[in-house]
Amino acid sequence: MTDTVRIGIIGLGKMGMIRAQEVEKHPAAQLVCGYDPAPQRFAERFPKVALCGSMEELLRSEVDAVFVCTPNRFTPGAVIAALDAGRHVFCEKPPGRTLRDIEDIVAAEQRHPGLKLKFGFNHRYHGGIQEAKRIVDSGRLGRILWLRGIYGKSGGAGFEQEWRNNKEMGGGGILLDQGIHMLDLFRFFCGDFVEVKSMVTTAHWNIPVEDNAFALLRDAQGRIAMLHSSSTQWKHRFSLEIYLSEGYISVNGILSSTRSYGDETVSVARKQFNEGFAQGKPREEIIYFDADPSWELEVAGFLENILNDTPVESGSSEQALKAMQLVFAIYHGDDRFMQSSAAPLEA
Amino acid sequence: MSRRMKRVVVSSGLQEAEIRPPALLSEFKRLSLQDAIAFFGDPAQLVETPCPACGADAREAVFKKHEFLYNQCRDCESVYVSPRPTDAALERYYAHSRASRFRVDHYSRDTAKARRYHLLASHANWMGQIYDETGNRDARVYADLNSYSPQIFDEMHALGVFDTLLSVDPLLPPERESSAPVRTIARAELRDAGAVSAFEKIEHQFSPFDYVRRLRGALAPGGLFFFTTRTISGFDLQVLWDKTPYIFVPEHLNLLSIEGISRLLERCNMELVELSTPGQLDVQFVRHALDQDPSIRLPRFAGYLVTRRDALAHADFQEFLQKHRLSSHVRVAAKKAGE
Repeated sequence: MTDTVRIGIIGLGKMGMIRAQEVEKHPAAQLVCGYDPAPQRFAERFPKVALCGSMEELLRSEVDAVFVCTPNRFTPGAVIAALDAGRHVFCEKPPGRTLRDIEDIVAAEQRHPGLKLKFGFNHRYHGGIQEAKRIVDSGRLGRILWLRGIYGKSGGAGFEQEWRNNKEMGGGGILLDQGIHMLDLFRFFCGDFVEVKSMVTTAHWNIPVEDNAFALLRDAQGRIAMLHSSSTQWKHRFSLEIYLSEGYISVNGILSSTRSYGDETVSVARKQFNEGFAQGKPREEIIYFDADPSWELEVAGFLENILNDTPVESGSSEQALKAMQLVFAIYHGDDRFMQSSAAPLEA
Repeated sequence: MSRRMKRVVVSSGLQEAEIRPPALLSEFKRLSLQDAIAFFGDPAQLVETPCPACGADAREAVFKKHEFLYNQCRDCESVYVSPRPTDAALERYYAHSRASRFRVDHYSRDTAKARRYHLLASHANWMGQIYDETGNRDARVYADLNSYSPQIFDEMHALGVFDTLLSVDPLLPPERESSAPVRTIARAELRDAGAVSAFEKIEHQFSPFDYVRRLRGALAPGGLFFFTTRTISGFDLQVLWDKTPYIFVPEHLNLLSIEGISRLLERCNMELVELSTPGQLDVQFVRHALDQDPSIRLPRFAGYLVTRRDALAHADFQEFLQKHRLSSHVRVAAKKAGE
């Protein structure tokens, strides 16, 4: 391996463009080529990047690593083909449509232990989440008691026609597409969960997948995490509350290109029971973050894994598998939903 | 400004009187003004300086307070006293003036409990968090410069982040006021520190540039410098301007703008980690200034807001000031950058 990682991108839509932008900025990366059945917009934006006529052609070209930014239906096929072609792989979430998809990917990874495989759970790299993790890990606010996460988007014009809501293409609805980020964050803070209660529904949209999922998860220590994942949240919302024995941390908003989830803030306070000061209204600090480094850090982490042969610690296949297992445990936790036409695609 | 820099908003129900009791503040100000005449009354002993933040010479005289001329930098818009007392004269003042003694004997001790709750505990948590985030884990020495609130060491000790706590040239010796294991040293002995704090000190340095550069030399690689000060960019100073009762010589020689603070740190090869204005008192300051001097004329909107609107509007407005770095109380974390 030289000092430069040569990169190809499969899937040149919105995520492919975001990844291309970060790859181009990184001094140790060279964006060599890309493949997409409809590459026009990408070609206008990145005119110097070679376009391949097929995924197979891209995998035959001189690239060291491949970013897979395709709709879920094509994800496992592309990831497994890239690994079998001897390429390191960065794969967007979710890692396929079904549990079987991620299990097949893990099996391919095990056939090629020298290759790096990382999944795009970029929320772990957001400033607010990193700040919250540092505070939790410092132990200064005690031990985690419970988590409450809300991640909702509004849908909108054309929402029902998006590939994400086509069961054949996506596999599931908002929980699999966006809620999986919050489940990954629950695991980031608490580790494994052993018990799941849930209700899942298609409350509003005329789509063959769910638009709302509510879940309660309990870990082996008895800590409970509550999730609401929604595509009927008419005002976009991201909220992760972490309550600890000595205080609380609340991450609100998540920086995005349109700022539709609002400012990214972390509110931190120590519980306040001192005599002479108002109880239930503690001194609170709200930290605002001016930039979202998550894409940059995630890509940099992947390149560092390749160049220095270090293990993938954030976005590993094990984390992807466990997040998918939680997604499907939530689906299966609601018998009524599983008997409905909105039930997810199964292997 | 650093791309990943943070801003902070704080709410704790702080009232001005808790940390600045009017009677104590009034006496401290009276003594300061008398001492200023005694120590710096001879104009021949004063020296001209360029902008203490960005170093530019171009300036405009904006107002006079107690016979000292405040200028505004045409470049970064910091406001500063020039001509001003020399470094040596300031050192004599802080060592021997009645105002300095009063601050230690009365002001600091009488407000210790409120300062600890509202200021020191949060300062300690703030420094601990930033150190966790970006500090040099091999440099576990913490030092506070010219401290007159030794309880900061109790808070830092409770954090358990630093191995060694140093009080550098303290105004109030820590031995009787703090139960933490603190060592007192002279400024020249300070070296390889992982974190140094200077609360409300920058505003009365003869040269903030020299002060930060010297301090940088005492930091370990990647060491952190934390400070608080008043900024002229803040609401109360902007609307009260020369009528503010809260600035006086020699306490406030330098009222750096937000932009000026960034430039100062850049010139000193320090990387900004956080630049926030978490002040909770701007609206109260303006209100109290009006109460004391009804002849003050504010811009119409500011006057209406402060005199006619309720506490909820004031709290929301104060939060807006914090969020957009428009409060006059500023806190800064900066990291020693490479050569």
